[in-house]
Amino acid sequence: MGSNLSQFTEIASWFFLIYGSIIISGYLFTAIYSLIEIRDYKRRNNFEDDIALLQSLNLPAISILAPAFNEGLNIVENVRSLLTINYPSFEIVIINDGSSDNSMELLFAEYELEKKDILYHNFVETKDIKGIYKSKNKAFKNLTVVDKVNGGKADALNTGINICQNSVICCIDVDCILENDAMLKLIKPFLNNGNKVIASGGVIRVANSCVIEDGRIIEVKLPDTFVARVQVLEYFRAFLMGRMAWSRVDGLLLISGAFGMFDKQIVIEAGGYNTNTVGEDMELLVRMRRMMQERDEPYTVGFVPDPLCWTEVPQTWKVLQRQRNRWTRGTAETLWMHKKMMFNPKYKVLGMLSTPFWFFFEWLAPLIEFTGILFFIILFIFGQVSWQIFLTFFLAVYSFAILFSVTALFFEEYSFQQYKKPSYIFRLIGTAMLEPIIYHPVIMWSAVMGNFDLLRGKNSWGVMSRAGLSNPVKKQKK
Amino acid sequence: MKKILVIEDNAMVIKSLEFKLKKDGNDVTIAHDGREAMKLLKDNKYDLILTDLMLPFVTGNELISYIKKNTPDTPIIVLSTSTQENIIMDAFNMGVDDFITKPFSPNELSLRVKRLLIKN
Amino acid sequence: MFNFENFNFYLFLDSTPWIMKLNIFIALFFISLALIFFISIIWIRIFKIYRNEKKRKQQGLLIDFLNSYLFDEDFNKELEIKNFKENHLKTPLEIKVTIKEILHFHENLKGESARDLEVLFRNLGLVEFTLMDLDDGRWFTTARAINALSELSIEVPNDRIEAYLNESRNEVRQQSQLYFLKLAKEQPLKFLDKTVRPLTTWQQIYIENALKNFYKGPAPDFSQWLDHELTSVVEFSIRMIARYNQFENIPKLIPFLKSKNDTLKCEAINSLTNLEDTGLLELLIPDFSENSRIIKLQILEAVKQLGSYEDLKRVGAQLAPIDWELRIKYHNIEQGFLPEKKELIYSQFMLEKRFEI
Repeated sequence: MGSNLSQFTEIASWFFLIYGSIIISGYLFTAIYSLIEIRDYKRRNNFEDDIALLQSLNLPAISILAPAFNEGLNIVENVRSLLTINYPSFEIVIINDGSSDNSMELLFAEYELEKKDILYHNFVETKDIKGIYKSKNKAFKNLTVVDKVNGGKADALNTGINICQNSVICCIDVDCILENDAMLKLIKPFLNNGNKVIASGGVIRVANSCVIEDGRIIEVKLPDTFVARVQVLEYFRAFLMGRMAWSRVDGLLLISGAFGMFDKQIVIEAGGYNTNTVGEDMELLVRMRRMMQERDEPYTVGFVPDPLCWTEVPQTWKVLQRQRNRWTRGTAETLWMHKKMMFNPKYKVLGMLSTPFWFFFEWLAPLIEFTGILFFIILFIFGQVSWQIFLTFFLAVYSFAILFSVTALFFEEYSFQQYKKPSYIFRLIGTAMLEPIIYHPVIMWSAVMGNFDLLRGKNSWGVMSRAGLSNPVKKQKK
Repeated sequence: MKKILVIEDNAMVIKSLEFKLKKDGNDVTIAHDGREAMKLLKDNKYDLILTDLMLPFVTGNELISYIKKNTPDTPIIVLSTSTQENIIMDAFNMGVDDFITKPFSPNELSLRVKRLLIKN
Repeated sequence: MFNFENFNFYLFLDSTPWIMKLNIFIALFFISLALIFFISIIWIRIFKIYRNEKKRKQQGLLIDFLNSYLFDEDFNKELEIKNFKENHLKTPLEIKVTIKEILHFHENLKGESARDLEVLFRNLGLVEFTLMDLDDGRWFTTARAINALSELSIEVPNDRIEAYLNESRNEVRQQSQLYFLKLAKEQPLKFLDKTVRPLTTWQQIYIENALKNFYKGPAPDFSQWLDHELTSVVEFSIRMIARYNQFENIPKLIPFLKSKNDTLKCEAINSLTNLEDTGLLELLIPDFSENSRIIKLQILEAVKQLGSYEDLKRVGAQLAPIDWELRIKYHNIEQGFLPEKKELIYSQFMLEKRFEI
């Protein structure tokens, strides 16, 4: 028994070591790639003016789609703020997803709405539409409000896709705060590329504790709560390092649901947002890319690193856990639906790099970590823990976590430097030092629970696997 | 002295307009964004309004519609980057008196302001 | 666990298993890297605070200086320029900010004021600095320098810029093209003859803008590039023929209506529509149904602009019931032709929709 156990320990240690080194080298590559990409981006964009763009007749008109569910508190200000976007030609489509509050009445009164007979077709199946409204006031000519039966975010976005007039759509959360040149920046990948661009994504920033007036950031502040502050670091890592690098190798799999631009026709051809997954944003992009690859059409997905969109992140542990639980399920569901792509050379970077990465490092990592902890507990019970090895191992992992966060912070300082107060650096470093001990275990646990919940809710899994690419347009209704 | 309200968010343009219009002997008030402009418009009367279309908080179009509703006789000049025909047409349809595109010539702008002030 | 009092480092090192040594080594490596980054962060922060403060000061100074220079008749130009040059153009940062600020003013102003700024730029001796940037060797500095020269219409010997027309960096190439375009007396688009890389939409926007707002000579005859090897150049030329109302080139656009390339065909329909070519619809409507979705949409648009209700109905006869996107466009145009039947058309459509789903 004793020698069996020590052999097992040996094998397991090796396993964790190799897995750890792969992760670390992956991160190092990401960091280097991102740095090059950010530097290039900064250099490319430091002398051109926007006047030529604003005056151009060649910029595609954009439809901004913003689903709203019980947003009555801020909806009037949010819409007004959306109307002030700097872009020559755009419409705003607010989709009221069966709110039970007074959102509709507020919009009606403030924007002098009246019912309009607008011709539309359900290119993507959705819940019923109760009415489409436009303003009587010429000043709000580019505002459309759709009132529909509740069907969830994906369904609301699909409704917007069916009704909107322009061929480029930008899907946003109605409560997120956009910089006024957000659309001009996000459209650039569509203009500056030889290949067809099917989507472009932007960076999301944390708005908690920032001074916000009427839907606009007045002053950027560091969040007061620890939970939100860690997410500032997380978002630096995810956007400035992760996605930036993925965009350089054209392997992006996710454009955040809170802020992304798409070619409408490709979205419709791919079947629109999937209403049967909680990871509808990731699933859509993967499905679009998969479709393009299968058709063998050259295409690209763009990414813009400027801080363009600010959003409130969870402030409490409870909400955070719920969010991460959902993210885990979304990732797992998406990977499962598109499992055919994994390690499939036909899908190039997506098949050989992106999907395996998501599988091993995004989805599997928390599970392996959790197993590692269980393993440790078993060793502990049998009195086999070598504390010295354990402590040094912990130290190595911990120092890596710190290094990773500090690097991300360095990228931010180097590139956009949104947090102006010098004291913020020290607070962020302090946060980075606490994160692996306090925050990370919770995130890991949420991910484990997410997988557990997914297995438990077998029903929804079954429905989903049928609604993949095979029959994209006619999707099952819930 | 004529009271002119300038609504503009570009600091450089503001300074130039202020400088030029004051030199022409006008009483110039500046609003740096649409919200500030809305507040000023609620409490004051102006002889002429010079506004941009793309403004923070409240769009130029909403301001124009507000002015046309409350003081329809106040002349409005739009100073905007947009040169697209439909944007210019929309502005005239809402009742603005003149549309000047950026880049603009300060001398020409000053002339057009004078002309409108005399007409009214 | 540890006996700290008689801890011997070398003994410890010998007796520890390799895995521990590896862990400690890795940890130390990471920590020192993290420290390096941390120090860099602090350094960047201090540097940026210092630089931004200087920048802000210089900008404040410039706003006053430039406004007085431009609009104040009592301003002693010669003396003030001399003063400014001696006191506020000493460091590279001051020069950089000044160039940027003058460009920013110039972007927003035209006419006499813009000319004044160009003169000021020379008198402050900024041309020399820009030329130094031009030879700096780093592509982004070169691109920025060319951009400044062309924005302010400052002519330098051609060979200084010509070398960059074939630069491998996209941005440099683009800026040098724009330079020749903006300063040309005639034939502003000569560089198109030599272009071998496709023009992106982005480039087309900037070329068009430069043509309209900077170039002062006679408009080129765009038909000379209609047989260019690159689709994007042809596409651009087709569009420009309409933007510049070159009606004489209408016959040369007609062949593109038969083009196999949808981009060109679409652009040709669009241009001929804008030029209000009366024969266009007769060429398009008869074989409407043989086209792709994009072209069909464009033909409907042409009917909306140029056609009659009769024309529209001829297109309608060729629409399949499941062509929802086209049908919606069709009915929208129909509503425009028959405003009194707007509601009827709407309810008819909704009825059909309900029964066909």
